Amino acid sequence: MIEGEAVRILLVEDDLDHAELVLGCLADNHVHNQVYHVVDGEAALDFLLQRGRYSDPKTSPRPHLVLLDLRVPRVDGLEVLRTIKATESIKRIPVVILTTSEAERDLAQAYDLNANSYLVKPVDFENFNNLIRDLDFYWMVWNRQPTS
Amino acid sequence: MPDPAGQRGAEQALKESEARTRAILNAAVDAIITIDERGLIESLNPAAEKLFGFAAAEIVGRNVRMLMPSPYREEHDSYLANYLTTGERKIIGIGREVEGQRKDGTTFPMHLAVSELQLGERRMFTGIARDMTDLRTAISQLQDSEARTRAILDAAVDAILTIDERGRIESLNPATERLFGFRADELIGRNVSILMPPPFCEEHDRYLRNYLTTGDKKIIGIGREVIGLRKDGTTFPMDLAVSEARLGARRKFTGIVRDVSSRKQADAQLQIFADQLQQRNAELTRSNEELERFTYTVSHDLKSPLVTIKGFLGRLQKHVDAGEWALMGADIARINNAAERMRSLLDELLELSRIGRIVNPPEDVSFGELAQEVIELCGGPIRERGMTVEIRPDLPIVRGDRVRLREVLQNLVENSVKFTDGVPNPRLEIGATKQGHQIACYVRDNGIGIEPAYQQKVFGLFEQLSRESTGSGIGLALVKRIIETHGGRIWIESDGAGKGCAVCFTLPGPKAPSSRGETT
Repeated sequence: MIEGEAVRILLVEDDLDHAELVLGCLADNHVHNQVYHVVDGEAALDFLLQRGRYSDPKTSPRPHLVLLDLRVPRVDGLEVLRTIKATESIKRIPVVILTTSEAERDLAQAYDLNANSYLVKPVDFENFNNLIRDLDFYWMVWNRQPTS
Repeated sequence: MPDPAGQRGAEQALKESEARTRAILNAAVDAIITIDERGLIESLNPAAEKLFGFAAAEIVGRNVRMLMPSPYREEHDSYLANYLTTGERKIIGIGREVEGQRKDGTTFPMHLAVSELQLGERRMFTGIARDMTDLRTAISQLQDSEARTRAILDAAVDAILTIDERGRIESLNPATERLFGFRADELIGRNVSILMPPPFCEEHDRYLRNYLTTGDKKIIGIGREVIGLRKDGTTFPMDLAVSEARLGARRKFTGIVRDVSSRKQADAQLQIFADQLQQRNAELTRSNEELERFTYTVSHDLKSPLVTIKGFLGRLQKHVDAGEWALMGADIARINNAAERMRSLLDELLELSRIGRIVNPPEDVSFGELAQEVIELCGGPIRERGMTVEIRPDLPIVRGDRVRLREVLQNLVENSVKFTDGVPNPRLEIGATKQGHQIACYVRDNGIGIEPAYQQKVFGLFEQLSRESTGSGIGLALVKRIIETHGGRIWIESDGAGKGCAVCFTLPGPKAPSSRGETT
């Protein structure tokens, strides 16, 4: 991530209210973010692979972080994760699962598929806000990534 | 003229002759007694002494009748007297079974053979007596043994037959008669294979021949399940066990037959139960899996709106604190919607669980009429969409819960209206054909279709393909549940995006065959 360049986040979330909450919290943090929002797994993959309706790279630049909900339509969250980590060109992009599910099964599968992190949306607003803020700070400020 | 040499020769011959006779008499096992006309004992041999317990000296000169108890002694007297006067033979040269009496008074069964001999002018009689005790005992034991065997055979529940080397029936017990419906005289002498239908009768002949020549036991000593043939031509399953018995050089075979009809019925019944049990277990496993999936899905789908509600309450608070009145309305709206979603979710869950329990009694329903009804119910949205509707003619009768079936059609029609949004000439077609005992129905539209990959998923709980569709996505799961409780199947026929979609499902046909000989 180059200083001054906007931090790009791809948010894969089908619940519009939740997306709104995330976007709102991110905006409140004043970290310069450029958030791209898609509502299903197929669109997520199209965006990342710059194909389909996202073939123009200007509309789908490579994000620095993917926030991925597990239960999204068309292509399921875990499938999206599997594909990302199996595709040479995009496997290094950190994928953080952001979901309501605390099920052991989902945790295990996500880690098996090499998710970079797993976060459960808190029901409490204060915690939700803190989570988004910390998430943003950790991955975008503290965390290092290779340039390619 | 005296001939001293000749006389000596004659005397010698006589002595030798006497010695020979004496030797024979002494060696004889049977008692030999001679008596005169009056019945007086003239001589007796050692065997006679032994038999009757008298020394010869004790009874010579006494009447022979003392050696027999009444009534035999009186009979003997009268026979002798009768013969002497009339020449009628009642015992002379004939032999009879009588009783003898010993010195100690005990009696025993005795066979007596009397013959006449002439000595010059004297008429003599020789009696040969034999003790029959052992023979009698042996006969009695044999009779007992036979009686016991017969009792066992008569009482046996199983049919028991004996056959000879050629398979001819020599004997059979009453159970055999009962089992096969033949009388004994109808079976004895016949080949045992008449009691079996082909191919068992040929097999039996073959096994027997084979065994007699090679000693190879295919059924001997083993037993098999075969089919029996009764006199009236009916057949029944039977257990046949054959064993060999040797009587001297002759080979006999004994067959024991048990009717196993009831056992086979019980086995069949058991198999049915086992199959049912397996089926139930499979159902139970499926049920449990469904429950687990359901619980997981529900807990997630209830938590989501909660996150929204709490989240936006937090934002609302921030906006209130910051005095940003304009933004509050939107927050409140989101909170409200989320709460609404939770409520409708809970309502539909209730509905879904009810489907399995409350079912109206099945009735014959005209599919065409039902389709007509549903089209009218959905009249508004159909007209708004500008959709043309075709209900195929001559639709068959289906059988089921009328209310639920209407819900199915309504759900499917509403989906078709939803998914033809943006399609230039939206069309809806409803039809059904008879297939054997079932009716195959369909609701077809020319809308956006469903890709093959998702055609199974759409029936899952809470699956939604498109964000634009309203509702909680429970509709098709409900439809599937209803169809399945009617014993039918449901599936999608669609080539994918933009190529239309047909939802197909099967339902039972009417109970009373309304159409005989109708083509499918």
